[in-house]
Amino acid sequence: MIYFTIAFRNLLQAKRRTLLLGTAIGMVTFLQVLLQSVGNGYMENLEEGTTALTSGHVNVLGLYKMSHGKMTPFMRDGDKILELIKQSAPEKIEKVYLRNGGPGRLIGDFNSRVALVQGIDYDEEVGLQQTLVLAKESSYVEGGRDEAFGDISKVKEPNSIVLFSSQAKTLGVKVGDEIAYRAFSMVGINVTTMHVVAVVEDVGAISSFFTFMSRTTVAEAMNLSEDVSGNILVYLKDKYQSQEVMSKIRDTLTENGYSLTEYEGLSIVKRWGTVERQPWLGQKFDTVTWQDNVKDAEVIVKSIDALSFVLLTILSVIIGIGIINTCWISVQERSNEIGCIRAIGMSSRAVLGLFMLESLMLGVLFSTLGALLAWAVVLAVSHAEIPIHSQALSLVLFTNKLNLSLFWQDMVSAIVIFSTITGIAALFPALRASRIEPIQAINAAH
Amino acid sequence: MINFSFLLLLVKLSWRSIWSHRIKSLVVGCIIFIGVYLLVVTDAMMSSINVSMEKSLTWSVTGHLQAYDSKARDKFTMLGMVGSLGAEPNVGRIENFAKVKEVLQSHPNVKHVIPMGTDYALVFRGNTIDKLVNTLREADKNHDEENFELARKKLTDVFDKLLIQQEYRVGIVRDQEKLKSEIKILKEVSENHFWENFSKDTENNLMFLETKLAPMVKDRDPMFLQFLATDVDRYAEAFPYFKLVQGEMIPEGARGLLVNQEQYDFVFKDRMARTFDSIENELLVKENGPIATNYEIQGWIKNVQVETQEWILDLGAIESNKIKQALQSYLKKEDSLENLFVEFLKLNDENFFERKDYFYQEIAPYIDLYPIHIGDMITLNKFGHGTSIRVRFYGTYTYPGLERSGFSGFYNLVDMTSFREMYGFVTPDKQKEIDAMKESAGIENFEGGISEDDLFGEGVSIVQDAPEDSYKAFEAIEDIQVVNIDERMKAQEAQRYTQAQIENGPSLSAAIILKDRSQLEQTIKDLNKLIAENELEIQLVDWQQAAGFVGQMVTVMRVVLYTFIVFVFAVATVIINNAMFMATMQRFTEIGTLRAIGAGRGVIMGMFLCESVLLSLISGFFGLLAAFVFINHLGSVGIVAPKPEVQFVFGGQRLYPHIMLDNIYLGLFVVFVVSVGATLYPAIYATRIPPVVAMNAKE
Repeated sequence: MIYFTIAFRNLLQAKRRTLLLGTAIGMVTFLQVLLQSVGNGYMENLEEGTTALTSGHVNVLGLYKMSHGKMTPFMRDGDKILELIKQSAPEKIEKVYLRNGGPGRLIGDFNSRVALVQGIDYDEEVGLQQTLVLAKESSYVEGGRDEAFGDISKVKEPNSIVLFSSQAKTLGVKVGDEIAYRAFSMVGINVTTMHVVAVVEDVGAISSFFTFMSRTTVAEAMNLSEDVSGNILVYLKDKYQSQEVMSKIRDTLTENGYSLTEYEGLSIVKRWGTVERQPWLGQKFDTVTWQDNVKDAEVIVKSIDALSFVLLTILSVIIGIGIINTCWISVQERSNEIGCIRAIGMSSRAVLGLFMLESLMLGVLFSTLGALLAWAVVLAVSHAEIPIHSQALSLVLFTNKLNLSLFWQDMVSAIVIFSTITGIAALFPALRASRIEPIQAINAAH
Repeated sequence: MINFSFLLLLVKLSWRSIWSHRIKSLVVGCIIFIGVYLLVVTDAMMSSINVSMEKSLTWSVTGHLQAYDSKARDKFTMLGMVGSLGAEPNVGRIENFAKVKEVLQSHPNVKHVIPMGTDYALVFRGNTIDKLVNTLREADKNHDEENFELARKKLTDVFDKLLIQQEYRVGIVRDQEKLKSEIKILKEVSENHFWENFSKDTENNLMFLETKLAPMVKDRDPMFLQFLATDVDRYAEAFPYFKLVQGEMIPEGARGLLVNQEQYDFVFKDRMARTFDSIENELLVKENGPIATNYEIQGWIKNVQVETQEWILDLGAIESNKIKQALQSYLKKEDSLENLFVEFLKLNDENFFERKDYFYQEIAPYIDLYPIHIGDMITLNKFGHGTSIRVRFYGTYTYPGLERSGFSGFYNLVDMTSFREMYGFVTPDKQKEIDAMKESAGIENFEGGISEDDLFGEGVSIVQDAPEDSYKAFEAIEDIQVVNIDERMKAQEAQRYTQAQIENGPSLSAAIILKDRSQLEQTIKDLNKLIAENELEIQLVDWQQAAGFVGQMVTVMRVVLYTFIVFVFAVATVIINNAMFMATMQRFTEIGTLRAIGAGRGVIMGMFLCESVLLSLISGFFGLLAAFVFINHLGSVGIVAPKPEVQFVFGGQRLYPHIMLDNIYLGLFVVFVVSVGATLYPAIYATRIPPVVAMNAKE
């Protein structure tokens, strides 16, 4: 305990030095934590977007080939498959939903856009009901009212559509308007007039591509037979068990005589061409986990990681040099003092420890401050809901709003890393201090 | 007045203290060295990226500036739908290009003004049954039994596949009636007696095939074609990198299509051939490593093996036989075609080039390497909403040196007249048609045909309130369409449009190429004034904005990297500040002595600053030198773009960075600011030391 007191007093005595070095350490920790939160926020956006809107934790997709080289995203006997999936791991599966859908074109007053239409059973999909939030009219109509209009549950009605606010904005429509939906159906293109029953808040940039209708509406527009659907979304009680549940589902389907595509751990979007050119006809099923779906985007997180690694290495080197220098001088300055405490019986190991402890305390104190500051910034940013205007940035970050997210583990690891670095940097000067002989030190002072 | 000897003294003093505080000097020097090195390397890389991007974009598509409709709802980008997350941007149009050109061209720094319009078209590859029935008819007419039999075999092949497809379709489609009748017909023709009795009533049977069976096959999968519509001749003049590769130039003033060589080879070409090409390309870049260690190539080989069976299905019976023979003689064994092919595709570093050559020499002659051929008439259907046009595919083009960069591999060139027709703008031909209609129908104002809403409203096109006698106009259209379509096509192809006709009309945007690029800022100001004076309804964007999010991406990268560097320097400043403070403390006695013997505060201050600047200059110089050596090394070997996406930013397969004077200035400036900034406070602190205190101080 006495060592702590001595070390702390030393830090207090060299106030300016402590403050300067501390600022540097704090800044670096701050940066590290902030970068982490950017990466986390990005993954969160993506995960939320994909699992809630389109894929669930495990997605079972029907692939149907009517001729070689032409694959369609359809599933026959969806209800039967649904039951099989439910039974494959009943204790781990929370909810299972059947959907259908396909690409189409939405045509509004100003503009048109392509969209992947999702046919849903609104009453069933409790998760989606929670994710979709009505958007204020002002967010998609210039000069619109600050109120939200519409009723998402009306999506059940025939020829009704729910749009995301960014879509409503580009199409130039509001709740109550009509738009044309050109479905790429099984027999050419089919145009249907749709009523916009609700406009909901965007869920990341990914929502630009999706839109919701009822399953029956989609089936009619695409000219699909009654028992044809597209994919099954499986939500789990623990999302990290996705791999395990997926293999159970695969086993169950295989046992029941259904055939599956080879699992490659990649989303079907990436493998579509390859699977399409495989020599089989008829029905197959493809399975992916939510982790597979976000894997494509991990490039971004990896590059953020790589960039921050390089940056923080450089900064650590600079700080390391600074600390070595400071400690070195401080050892010189205090050789007198060291001599004294050595003379009154302190071991050389204790001197080494004292110097290391001093540096370590400096590191812990200021990296904690830096981490806390970063935490405050993250809180402030999440609270402020800062919109991203740069298209490039929103495309890269997969969101329209700046989202930072922080886990306490990230803060702790940053504090540990930078305290360790400061501690280690002090090792060399501290070793030198520990080698000072009592008599030598006292002599040097005169 | 500071004289020279005083300066010299300062430098001497500083040098002495740099030397006597070696460790501190080394620390500060190292930090500055790292900072300068990082800054200059990053800055040089970023400006090199910018320069090569600008080069690849301005000299392939965008020009220095793009002018577009000032009333457009959306921001203009040459990337169109790709750049706006699936939405079709509404960029309006330039009503009269000729007028815009006249005004802009009057500026002395404007070299060229070129009309442009970019969009997507679908290309259908023709109806297989129609084609084969035609061959049957010809062969029947010429009593050419061999060809008749060949075409018949191919047809039955198609029917068999179609039957399978329709049977699978039963499980999916809601409208079962139609499907079942189709299946019935297909079963009928696949039975022997259909062909046995074929010659009894050849004409009727041919008709039967054409009317009942041909509609069942949709045109084969359409290809997506991004096109850039422009005044092709003027474009070729204005963009000096443009070079024709195969075929010929579109005749002056004619309609036509030029396909980008990159797309022709890497998108359109047969998949199998493309795999061989891609592997070869990958192997040409040494950094990528041989097949044995290159997972990407191994993946391609694996995939192409799996896809072989399906690829073979596309071949005709005769071709399959020939290829089988070729493979048998190469591999010296007998097996099914599929197994032989999979065996042949077991490619490795030893056999790759030999097999590639064999593929091109012995197998390629039996396959259709390209879905469209130079000289073909091609139907382009504007994606989304618009009309179809037919144009001749005259040749392929590229931009040597910029092949795989930016937008240069993105677009295929189409003439302006075809483009206007696709968009439904009034073209000279259409005007003639409308005039003819008006005359024959006797209508003054014909409102049924081409209204603006039709073109740009992206029509929920419900015909509303047609004028009462508009049916006469429709009758007139029918009259005109009765004229033989072939003849019309021929006439249209032979038609040459004058320069005035090409320019007098709408375009989506106009590319502006300057004589002197360095005057860009000033020219934009002048042009904006000209635009306002002449009341043109256009606005200007530079190449970077015209590049859409690709251009923005570079800005984002720049901002991120510079933020990082600012952080590095901020931390460096704090550390240097600390080091300097400690040095100052150690020099209390020295400073006290100096002050006691009459040195003023200015001298102390000057001494500190001089020391700092001197130290920074030395370490900054080494930092610069290291950066220079590094960048020069990279500049000579080039940085390989690891992925095609990166080629977009690198402006080619490799980036050759080089240091520019600006980078060096920036490096020196920042070093100066940081070193002086970090020293200032300790120096001021030192000057405040009274001589007595300083001399008494022990520390």
